Amino acid sequence: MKATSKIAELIKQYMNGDITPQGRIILEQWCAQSPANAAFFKSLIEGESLFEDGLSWMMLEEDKGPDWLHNLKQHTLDKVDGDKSAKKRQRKFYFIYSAVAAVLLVAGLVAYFRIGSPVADSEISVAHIQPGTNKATLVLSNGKKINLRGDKEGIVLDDQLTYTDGTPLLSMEKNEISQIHATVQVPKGGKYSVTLSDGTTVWLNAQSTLVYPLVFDKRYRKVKLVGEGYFQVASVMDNNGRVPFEVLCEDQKILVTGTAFNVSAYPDDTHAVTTLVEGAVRIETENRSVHLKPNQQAISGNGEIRQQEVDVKGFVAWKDDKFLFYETELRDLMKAISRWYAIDVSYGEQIPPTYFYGEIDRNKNLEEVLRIIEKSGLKFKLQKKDGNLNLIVREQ
Amino acid sequence: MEASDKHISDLRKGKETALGFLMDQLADALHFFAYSFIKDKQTASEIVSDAFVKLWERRTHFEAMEPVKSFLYLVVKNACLDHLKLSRNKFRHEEADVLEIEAPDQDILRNIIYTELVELIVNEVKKLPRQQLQVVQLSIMEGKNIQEVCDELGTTANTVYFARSKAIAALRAVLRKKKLSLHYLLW
Repeated sequence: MKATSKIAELIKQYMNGDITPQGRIILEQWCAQSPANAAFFKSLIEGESLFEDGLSWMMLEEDKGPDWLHNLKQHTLDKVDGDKSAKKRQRKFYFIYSAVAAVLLVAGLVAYFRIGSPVADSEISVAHIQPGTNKATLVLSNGKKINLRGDKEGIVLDDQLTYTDGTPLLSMEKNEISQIHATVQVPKGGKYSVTLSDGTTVWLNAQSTLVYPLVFDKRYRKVKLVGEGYFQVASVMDNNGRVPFEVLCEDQKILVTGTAFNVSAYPDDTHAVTTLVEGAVRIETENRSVHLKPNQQAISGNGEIRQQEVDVKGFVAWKDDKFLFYETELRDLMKAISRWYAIDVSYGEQIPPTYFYGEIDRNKNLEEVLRIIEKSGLKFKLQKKDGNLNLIVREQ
Repeated sequence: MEASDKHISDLRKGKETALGFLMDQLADALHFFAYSFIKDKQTASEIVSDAFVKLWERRTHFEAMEPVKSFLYLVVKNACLDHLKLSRNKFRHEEADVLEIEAPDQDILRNIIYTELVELIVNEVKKLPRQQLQVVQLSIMEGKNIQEVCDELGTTANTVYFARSKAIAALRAVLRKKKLSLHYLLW
C-alpha cells in the first residue's frame, strides 16, 4: 500500500506540473486500482474544492489561535495519564480560542526595513550605489587600448572608428584597419553599443565582451561573444545570396542571416539563452542544432539544447534600461542586479524559490530597486569584503 | 515514513513523547477533517483528542504509520457521524453531509489523501512572501476591499509581483470567484 502522504504529494506535483515520470506512473497505478480512485482524482483536478478548503483551513487555523495544538496535547496527555494511574482527575475540557487571535499568517504588518537602519562597522548603505552607465574599453589587436567615453553610447566603424554621434575616436590607415581585430570589454556596471562594418549593431550588457574584425570578410561574418548582447544583424547580399553571420559563444554558435536576437551566455550561468525577436537563427552545439522562429528561445548547456516559446520582451528589456521579469527566479534576478550595479551577491541561508514578475527601471539606484524586491519577503545587507561590495540576501 | 515508524515503535512501548509526536504531525489535519463535517471547532477538538486517547489505548496493535493514520481518521469520522446523529435537529442543514459520510463506498484513504492535500496547499500559501500574505490576510480574513488593503499596507499597484507556484495560480482563481480579486495589487 502506498502511503497516503505519498499519493497526496504526487497529486500536488501533478497539479503544479512538476511531477516526475516515475511519479506519474505511481499515480496512474493508484488511479487504476479502483474506479473510485480514478473518479476522486478527476474531481480533484477539475474541481476547486481543494482551494476552497485551503481557505477554510487557514481561517480555522487563525480561529484556533497559536496555542491550540499545545492545549490539545496537554489535555490529551492528561487523559492518558489519568487512565494509567487510575485516578482520573476531573478536569473540564477547555480550549482557548482567543477572540483577538494572533495573526497566524502574518508575523507583523509593518515590514521592518533593513536598508537605511543603523549599520554595523562593515555594513554600508546601498543608497549611494548607482546604476550602470555607458562604460567600456576598446582593445585593438595592434596593442592600442582606449577607455571609451562615458558620455557616448556606442562606437561605429564608418571610414574610421568614431562614436555613434560622429565624434572621432581613432584614425588609422585604411589597410591597417582591415587587419585589426577589436575587443570591446564592458565591465560590471556598464553597457555599450558597437556598430560593425556591415551595419550590424550589437548592444552589450554589463560584464560582456565582443570580439570582432574591424572589417568583415566579404563572404563570412563572424564575431565572438562572452556575456549578453542584443544583435540587430544587417542583411548583406553577395553573388551567392545572403552573407552568413555567426556568433560564437562558449558552448554554442549562432548562425544568422538578417535578424534581431538576444543572447545571454555568461560563463557563470549554467546555460546560454538565445532569444529570437525577428528573422531566423540556427543554434549549434557540439551534439545538436535547432532552428528558432521569432518568439522562440533556445537554452543550451552541456551540448544539449532545449527550445521553448517565450515572450521576448523580458529578455531584451535591458537594452531599453529596464529589468523585466517574467517567472524569473531570484537567483537570475540577483545576477542581473549584480552585473548592473557592480556588486557581488551572496545568500545568507537557503533562499526559497521565489519567482518574480514585473518591471523595474534600470536607471534607479540600488536602494530603490532593492526596496521593491524586498517586498517579496527578502532583506538585504551590503558589506565590504576584500575591497568588493557584497550584497547578502536573506529571508525576512 | 521510515522515521515515523520509530515513533510508532516508541508508542507501542508506551512512550508518551511518541503520542506527542503523532499529535504534532496529525492533529491539525484531523481537526480540519472533523471540522469539515461538523462545523464546530470546539467539538472537533474534543473528537480529535478522544481519537488520540483511543489510539493510546490500542497502542500495542500498531506497527507502522499508515495504519495509525487510517485508525485515527476512521475514529474521527465515526465520532463526527455520531455527533451529527445526536444533534440532527441542530444540524438539519447538514443532512447532506450525514448522508455522504454514511455512504458505504467512502474510502477513508481518500479522505486522508484529500485532507493531506489541503494541508500541502495551505503550506504553499504560507510560504508566500510577506506582503502577499498580508493581502490574503486583510482581504480574506478581514474582508477588506482592495482600496482598504492598499491603504493599510501603504502601497499602490506595484510594478513587481510575486508568485510561487501554480497551486497559487489555482488558488487565485478561487479568490477571484469569491469577488475578493487581488488582481490590481498582485497580478
